[in-house]
Amino acid sequence: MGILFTRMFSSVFGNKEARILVLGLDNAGKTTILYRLQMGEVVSTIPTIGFNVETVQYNNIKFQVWDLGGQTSIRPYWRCYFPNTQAVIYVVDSSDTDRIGVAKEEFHAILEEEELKGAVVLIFANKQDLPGALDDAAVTEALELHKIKSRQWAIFKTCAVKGEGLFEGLDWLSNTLKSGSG
Amino acid sequence: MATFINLEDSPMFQKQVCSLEGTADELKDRCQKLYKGVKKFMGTLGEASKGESAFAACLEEFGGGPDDPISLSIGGPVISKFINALRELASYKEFLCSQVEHVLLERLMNFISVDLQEAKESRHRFDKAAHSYDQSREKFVSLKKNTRGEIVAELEEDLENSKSTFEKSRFNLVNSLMTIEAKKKYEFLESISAIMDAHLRYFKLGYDLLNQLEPFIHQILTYAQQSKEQSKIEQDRLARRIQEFRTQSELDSQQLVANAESSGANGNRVGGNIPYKNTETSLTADKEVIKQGYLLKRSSSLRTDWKRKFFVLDSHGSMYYYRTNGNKSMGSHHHYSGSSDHNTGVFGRFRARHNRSGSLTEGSLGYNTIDLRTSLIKLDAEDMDLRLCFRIISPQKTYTLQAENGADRMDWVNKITKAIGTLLNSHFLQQSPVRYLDKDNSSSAPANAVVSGDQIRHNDSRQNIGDDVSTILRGLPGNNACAECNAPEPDWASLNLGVLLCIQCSGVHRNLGVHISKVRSLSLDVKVWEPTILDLFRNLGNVYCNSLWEGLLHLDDDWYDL
Repeated sequence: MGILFTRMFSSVFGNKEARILVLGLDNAGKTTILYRLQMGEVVSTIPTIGFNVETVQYNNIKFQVWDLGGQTSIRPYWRCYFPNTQAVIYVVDSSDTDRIGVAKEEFHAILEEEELKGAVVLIFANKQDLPGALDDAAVTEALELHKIKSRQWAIFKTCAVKGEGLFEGLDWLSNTLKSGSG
Repeated sequence: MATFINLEDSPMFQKQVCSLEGTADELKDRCQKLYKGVKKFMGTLGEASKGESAFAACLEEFGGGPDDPISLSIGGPVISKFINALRELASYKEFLCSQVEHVLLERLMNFISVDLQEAKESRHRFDKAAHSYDQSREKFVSLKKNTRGEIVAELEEDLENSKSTFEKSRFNLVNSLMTIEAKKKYEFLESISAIMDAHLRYFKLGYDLLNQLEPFIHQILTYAQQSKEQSKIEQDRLARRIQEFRTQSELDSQQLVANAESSGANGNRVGGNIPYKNTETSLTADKEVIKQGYLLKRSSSLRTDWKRKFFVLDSHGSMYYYRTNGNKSMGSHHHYSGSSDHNTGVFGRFRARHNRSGSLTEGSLGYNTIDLRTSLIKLDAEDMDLRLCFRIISPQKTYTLQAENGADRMDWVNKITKAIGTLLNSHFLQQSPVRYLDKDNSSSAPANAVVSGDQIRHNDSRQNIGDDVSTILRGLPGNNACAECNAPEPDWASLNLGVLLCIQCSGVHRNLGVHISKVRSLSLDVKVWEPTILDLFRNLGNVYCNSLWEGLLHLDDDWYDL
């Protein structure tokens, strides 16, 4: 079983880790999610100038998670990180209803990217703890997720500061990546 | 000429001939001595000419060769020109030598072997003729009275014949002696003045040549003098630099240790977000080295060996390291364009290249560039337990580096972090991400290179607005410091609260949620800075806003102070 799994694992990912991009508008909670996943703690963050990258070991899969800064003028650089990406985690501030439209536009622009055609997409409807936060159904609606064709996707309600929903999303991701290749 | 007025064969005549013969003999003696002397002179001239050529040849070997770097550095082209002049001078000497041979030696030889010899031979023939004339005469005079008439007639005829031969040879002798007499009057003067003329011409040619060369020689002398002074200045400068470098590195190491101690607490911050202030290292148009030095670089191949490389971080935000450490033979690195010189004349060309060859340009060492724009610094070595490591992670590649001491590591990390932050805030970057992509990914992923023209224009316009936003907003009362912590030059803002914040406090505001504070960057979120928003902010300012939001807080403080 162990040998079988190792084989399967290496056939899926080679010797590399799964490369995951965490994208989303500024202040969606990307960095908080990254360190919640990596260390299981809430860290105090400041706006990410550039990016952060950490390795997260979960479900026997090593995720190399790239958390890219979300400010408008940093977004054009996201594409530098697209090659060889297996999955995108798109984080939405569910309480920032003013900008949900912008979030939708950025999201669909990412889906159009040739280099991300093969990537699975996990959406985190984050900041569920804040007043006025849209629930997963509302975010699905607002992001027009039903328009996604020929790609595996899932949406989870999350609250990064409480750690809710994150590992459920990662479970889905690891299962999807494992089965998707096998 | 008073000789031989009387051509009769008289004792006077005999005496004259003898005296002339004596003179001719004496002359021959002198001619032979002169001949020897001239020969010797020619030998010396030939030697001198050869010596000059040999000198030119050894100069050529020294520094007049083709464009090899050493020749160039010691002034090859100039030396070549001098070598040509020396060769010319040698050829003049050779020419003088051949003239001596033709106008003096050969004529002298001719005089000795033809004219003087002729006189000798004439004398010989004359002696013989005189002898047979004497015999004939004796025979004829000794005839007895009874001698037969035909014998008398025969002897008389004999006598007549020998007399005639005698007379002929006598005149021959006189002729040849007179030829010598005549020739000695002009022959030598002519030859020797020709030699003097040849000398004149020799020196004139030499003078003309060197005269033409004179301005050039002076130019070179002046240039050499200038170079000497320049070198002295440079040496002094070097000495000063060495002194400064030593003092500076001492100071630096002290400072680094101090910094490392003070920043040790946040040395292992999460997120790699080491605090930066982009204004500190604003990217200037002039490229300057921000930091350079040796770092150990972990090889990217499977064999994990470490190599010591010289890294440079400059004020344009590029970081690069030299492939080699520059200790290999420099000769092969040299290359000269040579064609671009529009300076006419040997000297102009020489000076242009002489100076150029003086310093080895950095371009001749190959280097690899690490693009910092999409990079991140991390203070570890991933799968290793080594101290003093840090990583520069870019989407394409991860560089694992190791500094030689802790202070140096922190300095590198801080400076690179600043550079990355500055790059992301700067105009350089915003102008065109495409160019960057093209350059780096042309081989691996061409699809990367597609950023739409719209985006680029967008970035350009945003950049200008970005500048304006900062300058406009920072001018308002209280906006030169963070509304929360008073840190200088805040470049973040809360849209709904109307205040400017530092990046640290912006993090706190973001954590509160957008229903309390909507945080945007002045430089990175420029799209949001619509005229209406700007107008709103213009009417606020941190002082005014804080007087509202923190009005009660101040009362509390006052109360607290009591």
